[in-house]
Amino acid sequence: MAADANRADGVTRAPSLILQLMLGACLALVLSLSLIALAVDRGFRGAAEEALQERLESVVFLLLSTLEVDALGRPDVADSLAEPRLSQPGSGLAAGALTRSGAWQSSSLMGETDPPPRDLLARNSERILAPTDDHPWYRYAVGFGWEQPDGQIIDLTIWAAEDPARLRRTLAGFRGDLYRWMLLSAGLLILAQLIILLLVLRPLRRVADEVSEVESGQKTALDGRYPRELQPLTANLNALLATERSNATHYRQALADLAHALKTPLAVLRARLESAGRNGEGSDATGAGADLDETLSDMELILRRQLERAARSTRRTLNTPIAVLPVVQRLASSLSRLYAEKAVAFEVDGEEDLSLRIDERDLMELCGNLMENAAKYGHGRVAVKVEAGLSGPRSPGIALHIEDNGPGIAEARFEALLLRGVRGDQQGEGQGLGLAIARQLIEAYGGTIHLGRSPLGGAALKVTFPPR
Amino acid sequence: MRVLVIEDEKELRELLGRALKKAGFAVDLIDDGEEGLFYATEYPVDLAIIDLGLPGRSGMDIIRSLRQRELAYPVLVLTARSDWQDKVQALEQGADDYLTKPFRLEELMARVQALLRRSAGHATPEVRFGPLEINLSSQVVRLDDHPLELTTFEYKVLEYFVLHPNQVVSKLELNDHLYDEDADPDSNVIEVLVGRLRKKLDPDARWKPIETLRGRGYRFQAGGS
Repeated sequence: MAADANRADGVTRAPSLILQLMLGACLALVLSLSLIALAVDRGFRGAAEEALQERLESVVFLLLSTLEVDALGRPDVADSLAEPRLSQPGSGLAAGALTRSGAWQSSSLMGETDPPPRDLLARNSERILAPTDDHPWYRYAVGFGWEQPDGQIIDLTIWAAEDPARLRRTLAGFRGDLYRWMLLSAGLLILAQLIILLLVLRPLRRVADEVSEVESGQKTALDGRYPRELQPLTANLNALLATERSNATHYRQALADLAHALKTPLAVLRARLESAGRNGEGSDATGAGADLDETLSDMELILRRQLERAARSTRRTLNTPIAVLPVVQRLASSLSRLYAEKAVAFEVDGEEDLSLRIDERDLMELCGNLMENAAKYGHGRVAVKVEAGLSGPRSPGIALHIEDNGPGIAEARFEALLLRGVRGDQQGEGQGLGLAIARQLIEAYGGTIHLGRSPLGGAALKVTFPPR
Repeated sequence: MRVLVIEDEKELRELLGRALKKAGFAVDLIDDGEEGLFYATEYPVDLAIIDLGLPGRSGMDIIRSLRQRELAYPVLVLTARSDWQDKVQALEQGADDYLTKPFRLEELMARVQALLRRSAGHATPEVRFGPLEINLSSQVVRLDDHPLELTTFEYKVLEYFVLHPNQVVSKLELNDHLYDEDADPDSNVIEVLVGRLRKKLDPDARWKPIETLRGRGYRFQAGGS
């Protein structure tokens, strides 16, 4: 019942495990995929730049192999070069040679408004320049010493340059592919993660299902096969259930023993008192006997009340549903036997399959007390009917009607009987605690009891239990 | 009538024994379940008072066993357990009535009388046989509407006859049901008692309620022989 309340309030509910795990997994996935993408991007960019440099290097050496320097020290290159892009204006690849006396540049630079810068380099040196805001070219230049026919060695710088737009295009194409694949694999990973989570959490859902089966009384323990990691949980739950059951049994046994231990001496006292009274032991004995008799009655009342109260505290929280009609029928047959003298006729009627989630002992106690009252105070006819009450999501409520053809009970007396023994100062009236005990049991299970007038002529008690 | 009391609490057992004897019953007092079952099945018991919580064998067991052996005499259960579940269980096993400790001796006696009467097929304590009227509860006997004085043993013999009408009752049977196990009265005592009873019940030899069957015993005839 407490669990239900929590469920209904939803106050203490923690965030969903799936949600938590999925959020964590997604965050980790995004972080790791971003790092991977960054690393791959950097790697690809490095490789692309290296390839570019190699290309420029090969252009430089191609130029070197075809270059001529005239007697005045001016470089010149035959028009037909092995690299066609050098002859094609706007191709984005350019090359040139440079001495102190002159310079040559490829025809691909024709019409270029912003040609790559040219500097004469020292011999045997090379320079790699990345594009800057002023000069949007990748440039590679090598400084050579060129031996003239007269034996003079002049400085010659050969350079090659490429428009970075090409590299950018390559990189953009690569990145597009990279991001598409990354997104696809992230989606697949998240999906796989979700499936794994659902699979992993399935045993937990099964535990919950089994616990609710235990609660509804279809099972006494969790008996499903569970993964090793869950076994401590299910084993502990089973141990808890077993302990709860055996504690209740032990406690009841202890109470029964206590009842026996206390009631038997009381029986001895009473029997002694009565025998003494019969033997007429002294005239004082009669007055003292009456006092003792009263005290004994009080003790009995207190004992019964307290034992009943203690027994109620052993009530199990997980009660199995008990079919009500068979219990009523058993009681009717027992009471017919007990009241054979009065020849009480019990008319029991009701729906077979109506059940109540209650301790069987308690159900028997409350029905027994009410039915016995009807047998005792009625004039030989008792009618008991078990009906479905209000409907509920899991099981309907129960209405129990107990009627007799006796003189009936006055409303005020009924109220007093219901509360009998609740206060210790109330004296016994020669009538049992039956009604008060029944009321307490009924209320402990959320039920109510009402008094009415029976068509049979006597009292009609209606006990209702709420639906579940 | 012979009453078997199986109760392990010594003082209560003895108090019950004294009260029952005082009321005119032959009483056997047993304190243990095993021995109780032996007495309950082997002795000519008219009624048994059985405590449920007994050493050796539970009262419930004894009741079940004696009902299985088709012994039909009334059984009154005595117990400290007052739960309906226990009561129903005991009644379903074959007990006829149930008394929760502590109880009033008067109530116990009333129940014992009622059970004996019911087992003989009488619904009310007043039983009538021709001119004879017996109240099994108050033990008042009237003949032709005049009170009849009987001694305890005479009443016991008459009560036994009344509860076993039209049946052949041997002297041995009367002996067994009227006297305690340890008492061993002379067999003539029964004859003397029956003779005295005949004179009181039928002074004019008018309706001859007690018939003697030679070598077999007596027969109490409702309408006279």
